[in-house]
Order: sequence, then structure tokens, then C-alpha cells
Amino acid sequence: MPKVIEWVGVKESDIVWKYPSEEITWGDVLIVHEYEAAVFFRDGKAYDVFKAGRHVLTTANLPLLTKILSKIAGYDKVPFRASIFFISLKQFQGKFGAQGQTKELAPLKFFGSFWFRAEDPNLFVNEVVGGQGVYTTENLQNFLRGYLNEKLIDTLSQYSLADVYGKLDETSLLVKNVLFDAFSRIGLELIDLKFEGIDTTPEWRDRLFYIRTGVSAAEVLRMQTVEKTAESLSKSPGAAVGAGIAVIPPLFQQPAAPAQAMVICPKCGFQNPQTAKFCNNCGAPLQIAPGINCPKCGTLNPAGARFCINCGNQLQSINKCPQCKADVQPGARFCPNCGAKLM
Amino acid sequence: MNEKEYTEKIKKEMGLFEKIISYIPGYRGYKEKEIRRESDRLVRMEVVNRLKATKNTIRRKFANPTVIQKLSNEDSWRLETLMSRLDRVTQRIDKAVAGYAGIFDAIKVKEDKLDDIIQYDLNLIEKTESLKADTEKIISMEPGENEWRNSMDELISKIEEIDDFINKRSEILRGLVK
Repeated sequence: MPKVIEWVGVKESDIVWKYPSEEITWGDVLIVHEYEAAVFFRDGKAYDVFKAGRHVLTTANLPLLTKILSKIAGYDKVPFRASIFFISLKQFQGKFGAQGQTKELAPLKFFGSFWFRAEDPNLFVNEVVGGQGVYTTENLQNFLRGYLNEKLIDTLSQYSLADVYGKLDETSLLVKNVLFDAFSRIGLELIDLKFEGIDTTPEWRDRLFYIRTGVSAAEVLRMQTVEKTAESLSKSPGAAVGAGIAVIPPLFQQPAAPAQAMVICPKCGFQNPQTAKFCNNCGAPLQIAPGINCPKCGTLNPAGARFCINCGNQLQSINKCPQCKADVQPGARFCPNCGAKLM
Repeated sequence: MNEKEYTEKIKKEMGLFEKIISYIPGYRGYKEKEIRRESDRLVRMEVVNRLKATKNTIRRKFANPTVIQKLSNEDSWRLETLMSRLDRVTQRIDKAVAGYAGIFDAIKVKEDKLDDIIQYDLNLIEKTESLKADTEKIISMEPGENEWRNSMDELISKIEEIDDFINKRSEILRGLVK
């Protein structure tokens, strides 16, 4: 008796279902729903893809007559074989996830979802499903994982870490368009692809944070050196508590300019920059002639003092030039004014 | 081809058995309507194929990193909008209802109404042809430029027009417009 063939009891993840019997007789009715397509094979060849509707099938397998003739001829089963594959045309969701590298070789983990549907049922059955009875989204994901991961790893390696985080939309758009051809090659249409998460190692996350705040790469590396030093010190069993205090603060300091010589105020002892003319603390003049040390008690006396302010000892005996009468320091051999010989 | 030619083509392809039973009272009307529905499906498939070709052309153009990098965030959004609306319109035409009413329904779907639907869907072929021509023009432009952006916006508007056009199709079947 002619049969009515249709796909009932479809599970959510089923993409393809093969009608279990290959003994389809002349006049069997095939019902295809709007959300399906059916690929009809007769004698091993794909004959047609049936879209929604009721289709009366014609095969050489005539009810009763074929069975009788097959037995007479000695076939162990009916030689006229036909098979029907139902393909769901609805959208399916798949998952992807892998680890790649960015342009600067930063490790990058990513995962997300993609949506696809069967575009060319005949191609899909012949290229992917083969003779399997049931084919699910899980089977398909295993099949597609290689395609997806390869293209994603390749595409992401063309972007820097900051770009991947900042231009995720652009990246997914590119990947989607690149993968479009790979999917259509096996009779599928990639509808959409979205990243749901991306991550890198904690070390690169910190670097990304600093780079985004405008810090140079060199500065980021210096900061990481500090971090690593601190970590090493904390783990070192022989390191004293004071070692961290001594080593880390200099590393945290910005590179210092070469030290400048300081001028000490003779009045209050404040350290002033070398170029200062007056003390920044008490206002006393700084660039004055050096004082005179008392030869008896060693006290520093102001320049020009004739007697020590501490012991009263005469500091300098002033002589007169016999020729010009100018003041001459004791021990001088010539007059600083006229050049006359004194001794 | 117009709607009569599509229907005649399908009638000619009827087998002897189909021709005989099409003269049975009651069945004749059913078969006449079924022929029109099948004709309409052929027309819609033609539209769907053209829209799919348009979508593929755009996809291939933007499968190039150099081209994608020329797009700003707003441009990417524009492209995504175009693709999703194009997909929506394609699916709506592909899965459009054939047109049916039960025996005692107040609004009947008879042969004349189904002929109108075929004629209506034939107009979609012209619209998709124009869409295809516009897409090819955009593909030759430099992406991310103002001219490209304006043309993309125009294309999105045209797709929205087709979407509205499909809405009116169901109004014809419900007898709200002719």
C-alpha cells in the first residue's frame, strides 16, 4: 500500500533526518513542511529537492508486483531503492571558542556563538551528512569547529590587543564575511557571528590597561619589572623585611635628573640651588667672598674682618705700599696696585 | 512572463491523469487554485534567488580586511543593518503564505485573488532587479566615503520599501486592498 512519508517528532537540535526505509513504492506521498526541504534519491542518484507541499513519488517499485518479481529473480531485497533526507531550514545556533594570538603575540582566548541555516540542502547532504540516519547540531559543530577556529585565529592575529578589545564589531564583521564562503561551500549559510567574550592573561590585561591610559610601552615594562621584583622578594626565603623597603622605592621613582651641587647658606645652613643669590630660607646673600679662618682658634670670620670674632687675635696685618700707599696683604711680594717690589 | 503565462505554463505541464481529474466538479476549483499557488511560488523563488545573489555580492566584497578597515563603527553598523534587513526580506518572500481560506470563512481566497497575488509578486522581480543594480554600483565605490554612505542609506530605504510591499500582500489576501 502507498505510504505517507513525513518528518514527525523533530528534536530541537536535529538538522537532518533520513527516512528509515529505502523501499519507497510508486505513489507514496511525501509531505514537506514549510520549514523543511526533502532531498529525494532514486537508485543512488539525487533526483530533486522538494520544497513545501505534497509530492506524489514515482519509483519503479510497484506495490506487490516488485516483491513477487524480485523473489522470482532471486534478489534478497527489492532492487529499486529510493531514499529521502529531510533537512530542517530553520536557524541553528552553534558555539565556538579557541585560543589564538594578537599581532604583538599576546595570548587571546575567545568564545561566542554563530547562527546558520541550510541554504543548499542537496549540497549539504552530499558534502556533509552522507548516509547518516540522523545528523544533529552537535555533529555539525564538530565538523565546523576547524573552519571557525582556523579563520578566527588567522583574522585575530592581524589585530593588536587594544584593537581586538576596541574593534570587536569590526572583527566579527570581517570573520563573518570571510567564513561566508566556507559555509556556502558545504551548502550552509552563515547568518551571524558574535563574540560573547574575549580574554587574555592577567599580565597582558595589566599592560592593556596602562597602554589605554596613554602610558608608553617602555613605562609599562618598567612597572612590570617593579612588580616582578616585589613578587620575587616576597617569595625569597632569605630576604629580610628591609630588603623590599630598600629595593622597591627607587624602582618606583621616576628616573631622576643628575644631582646638582647645592650651596649652603652660611647664616642658617639651608641648602640652596647653585644658581641662588640669596638664601631661600633666610634671605642672606649667598655669593659672598669666603671668610677668614683665625690662625689661632680656627673660627671662620667674615671676609674683611681684621680681628677674630672669637679670640680677638689679629687676622691680617695690613701693610702700605711704599710707592702708591695702597693696602697690601701681609707676605705680598709686589703691590697689587702699582706693581712696586715690596721685598 | 505575466501571471497568465505562468499559470498556462503549469497547466501545460499537467499529466493526463491530472487533466482528467481536474474536470471533476469540486476538485476543479481546488486544482485551479493550486496551479495559481504553484505559479506564485515560482515567481517568489525567482525573487528570492535574485536577493540571495545580491547578498552574496555584498558579503564577498567585505570579506577583505583592507576593505573592512576603511569602515568606521557607524559604517559597520550600516552594513550590518543592510545585511539583516536583506535577509529578513528574503526569508519573508521565501516563506510567504500561499493564500487560503476555509469553506465557511467570511473572506474567500478565490482564483482572481490568487491571480492578483501573482501579479503583485511579479512586481517584486522589478524591484529586486533595481536593488541588484544599486548594489553593484555601491560595490564599485570606495567604502567609508560620504557617497558610499548615502548610497547605502538609499539601499536600506529600498529594502524597507520591499518589506512594506510584502505587508500589503497579506492585505490583498484578506481582501483589504486590490
